[in-house]
Amino acid sequence: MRRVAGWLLAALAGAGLAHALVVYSVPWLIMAIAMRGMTRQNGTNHAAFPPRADESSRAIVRPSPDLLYSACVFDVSQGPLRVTAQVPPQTYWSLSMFAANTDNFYKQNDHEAVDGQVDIVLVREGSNAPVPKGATVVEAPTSQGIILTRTLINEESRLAELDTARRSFVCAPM
Amino acid sequence: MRPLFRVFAVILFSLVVGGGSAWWMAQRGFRNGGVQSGPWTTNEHIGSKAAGLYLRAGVAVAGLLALNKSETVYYTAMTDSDGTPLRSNCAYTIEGSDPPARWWSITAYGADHYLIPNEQKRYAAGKTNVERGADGRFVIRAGGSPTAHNWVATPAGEPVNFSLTLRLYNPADTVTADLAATALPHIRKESCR
Repeated sequence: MRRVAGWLLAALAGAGLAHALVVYSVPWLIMAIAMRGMTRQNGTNHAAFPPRADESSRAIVRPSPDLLYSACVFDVSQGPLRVTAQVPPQTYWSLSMFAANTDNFYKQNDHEAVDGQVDIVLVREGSNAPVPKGATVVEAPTSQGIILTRTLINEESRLAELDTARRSFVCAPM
Repeated sequence: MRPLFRVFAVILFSLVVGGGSAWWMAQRGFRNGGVQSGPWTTNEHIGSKAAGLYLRAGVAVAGLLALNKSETVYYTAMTDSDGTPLRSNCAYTIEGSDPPARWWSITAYGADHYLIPNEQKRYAAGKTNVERGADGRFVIRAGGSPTAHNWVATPAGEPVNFSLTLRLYNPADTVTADLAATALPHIRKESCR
């Protein structure tokens, strides 16, 4: 009887451990899969400009069809990254950074950008880098992650103009 | 039972029960520890460093790359205002007035969390394209026959569940101060086939 209780206890402990492990790993795993898919198409530390989301968009769940996304899978393990962009006029725009565990560790929108420009030096937490005049230093909590810009298509007639404007987004090693 | 078989049984039990329950929790998405406003659910820690393990897993499964609430609040409805799951064989009306935000939209998603295939490519309706009545209120139809304005597609074919996401970009302070208190659109089931 005691042996059976022992096995049952081991099974429950094992289930608890597996539960905790899966819950902890899911965000890292899903981000890694998303980053791998994006890297395969566009490489790391390089801006990509996917088409407007529709039913064929399968890279990221629950995309917004009202936004034009630009993305960059970053890796600052080998050194800092310079991230620059010009804010498109008269619409909502934001740039956000996500750690490898899905946390949104930085964001800046069109209202917050100084003179319609964004200039960021992205470094690994605890690292130093020469900072060009006017640039903001942002520390990434993980070496890898994703930078995303969102441009609102506030009028269908502006689609081509906004598509061109979002391509000012640059993400490259310094 | 032989010891080896018991070890195997323990490992199998751990993986199925432990792993399965963890995946079930992750599938609950934003509902993990969330707040409710009518049929709409959100969570104040989406995208935040303060997110707990379950919420972080839920965001990864059902809302990867979601912004935190200071920038965007995401409300998701899996049911109508009566609490009945949203089904693709039914037509719904989503009725309300503009939520307090710089920009908002309502988007329909399939059970797989992707945009729903439809010939018209009508996935969403929002602040910039919705038509309002004289009183400023709008009625958006989800499912049923397409209309010229204020209509979003739901899955065709066999009846399945779907969901709606209401995005509030740059929400008013009143929204972020109390996510449950914001007046959000009412979802009413009109008819089913």
